[in-house]
Amino acid sequence: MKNSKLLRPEYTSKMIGAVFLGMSVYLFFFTSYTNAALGAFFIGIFTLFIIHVSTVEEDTAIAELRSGAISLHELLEDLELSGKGVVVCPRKDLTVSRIYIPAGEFDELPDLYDEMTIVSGGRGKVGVSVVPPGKPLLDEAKQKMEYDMEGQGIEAARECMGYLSEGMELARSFSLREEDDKIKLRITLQKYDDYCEDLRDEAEKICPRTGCPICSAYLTAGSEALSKPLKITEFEKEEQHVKYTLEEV
Amino acid sequence: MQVSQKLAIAMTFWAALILTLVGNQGIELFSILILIGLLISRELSSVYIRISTANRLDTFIQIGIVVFIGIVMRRILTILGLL
Repeated sequence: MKNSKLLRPEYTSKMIGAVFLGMSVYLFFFTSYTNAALGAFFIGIFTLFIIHVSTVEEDTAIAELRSGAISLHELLEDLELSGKGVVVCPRKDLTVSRIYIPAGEFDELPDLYDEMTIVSGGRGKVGVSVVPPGKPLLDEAKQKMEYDMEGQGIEAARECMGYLSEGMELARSFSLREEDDKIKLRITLQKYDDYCEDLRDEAEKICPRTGCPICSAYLTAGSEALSKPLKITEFEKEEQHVKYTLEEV
Repeated sequence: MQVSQKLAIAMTFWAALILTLVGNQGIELFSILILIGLLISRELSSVYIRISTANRLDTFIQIGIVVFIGIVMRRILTILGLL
């Protein structure tokens, strides 16, 4: 159910702020509570200006996320790629992260280059290398980090994912842990769960191949922070939880 | 609930708490404690807030620092007997 425009946080905050400012004017001019007036003034100004909601409608943002994922899914379907994706962090001649989707069973990671999309490395190393659909989301999160997270380990990945979840509100929570030689990533969606379900109805195979823009941002963050290519070995969606099992390549 | 909403609620409670505890003291103490609250909330929320919200919070902190400098200057002038 959609909220009325007036009930949105940016409008309610302005109304609350205006009430506090009104109170501060009353307290300052008509009473002797100068400190209380100053307090109300501060709260009013703070509430007026600090709560800020981006101007893009939620429906529009979801449609944008869907359109990017569906066009990629259609392309990968037409190419009849059956393998699961490998998230590749910058390495050797590759300067930006990529997702490599092998045509068949994954055997060995071929040499990837920035300008190469169709990979034909011989000896069965055939596939497609695409820019992760969640790269712009991840770039936004990386801007917030005070250090370059590449190769900084699992804690840096968690910090980046924390911003993706809490700061950008892409998910309610996440869990990233190493188990033996596997890495388990669990993303608990909240407001984007309907988007996830709708997308999976239309393009179910996108999840183990590249992930949608949201999952892809988390996967790429993991690969970059660990500085290792991560192969998607299992994918599972259970209620609001998206679970990925990854393996270092 | 957005992080910016949580920030606004936290600062409202902080301001109310300061008013209750040191409401009868001067405006100077109140302003300094508000600035401390802003600095703490900025530091604790730095990872979670959007860049636009961080910029807005920084503006409040900058205003607070200007007020703080004013308070310190006033104190110095008072101690020197120039005011």
